[in-house]
Amino acid sequence: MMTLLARGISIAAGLGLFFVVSFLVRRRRIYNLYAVSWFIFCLMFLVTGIFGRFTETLATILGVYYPPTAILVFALGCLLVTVMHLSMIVTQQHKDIKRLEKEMALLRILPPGQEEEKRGQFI
Amino acid sequence: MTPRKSTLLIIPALNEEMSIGPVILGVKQHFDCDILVIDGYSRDRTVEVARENGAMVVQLSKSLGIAGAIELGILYASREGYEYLARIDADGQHRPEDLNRLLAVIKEDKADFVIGSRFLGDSEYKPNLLRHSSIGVISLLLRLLYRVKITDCTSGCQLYNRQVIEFFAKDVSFEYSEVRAIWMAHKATFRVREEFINMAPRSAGVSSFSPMIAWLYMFNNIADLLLSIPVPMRRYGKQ
Repeated sequence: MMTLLARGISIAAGLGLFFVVSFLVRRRRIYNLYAVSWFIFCLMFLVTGIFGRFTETLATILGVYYPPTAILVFALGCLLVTVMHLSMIVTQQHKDIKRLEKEMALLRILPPGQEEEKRGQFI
Repeated sequence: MTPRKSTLLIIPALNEEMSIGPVILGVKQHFDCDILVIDGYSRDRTVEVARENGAMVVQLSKSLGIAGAIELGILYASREGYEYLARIDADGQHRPEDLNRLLAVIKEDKADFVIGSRFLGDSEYKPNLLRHSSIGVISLLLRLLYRVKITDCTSGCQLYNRQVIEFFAKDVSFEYSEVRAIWMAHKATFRVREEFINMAPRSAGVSSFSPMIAWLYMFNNIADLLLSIPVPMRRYGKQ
């Protein structure tokens, strides 16, 4: 069983993170979709704080002898999900940038006849 | 304004001022097409030389690589309504005379996608061991996974017809690689075929294909092939 202080800190951290993330979402600094993995983190903090037995139960299920390690394992899992999500976002953005670059290049191609007329101009 | 030809030839180039001129002139002599040189912001006079020889030129960031250049060419061919798309390398290794023979195969409706292979006959150019073995591995994988027999899967000489151009152009997340183009087209039931072309040793300049990039290229293609293994999936709700 966690001490009351530890549970308090956990709940406070969860709430704090929740407010920061929702503030950023409302200010359009993070897209709703991208905030999902952060809200999962908040949930994790809140659950460990509110249900004091959660850590021990988790440890028993996972077969971990030292309960605090279970929190680390769980946190690592959440982080992995977040990083995976970020990789997907980065890939998508890279694709979008390449697409944009190609579209711009398409606009700059001049048909054979016009090449002569435009020579010397900035295009 | 000169009317468009039915064929577009794309030549990706990077620092090829010595060879790009003769390549364009050779193509103009032997092959009836519009030429689009896609330059990766060369540091030498590639762009000027290509323009002087009457090719269309466009610059595309080097970071998009040859793949980006070909994708751009495919998009351009699709938008401008070209019937056929051909690509060759800028280093003068491909003979423009061969292109007519390759295009004839498509025009006679014997194939949708033709690859110029240097291994189907006795070519002057012999790739080094690393390249040869990687081509062998990729060919083997193509044969095992897709049952498509291609001897020169990394050839830089490929020709597509209108249907193949549209197929690639419409795929928003399409990422070109010589190998991926082959299996994607084959999977989409296009007829992929190989014809022999003679390939000369490099005429001038330096290849941008360093050993490091060669390894990466090989790794990338093999990983891509292995990850693309066709998994038979049951489609629910569809008969």
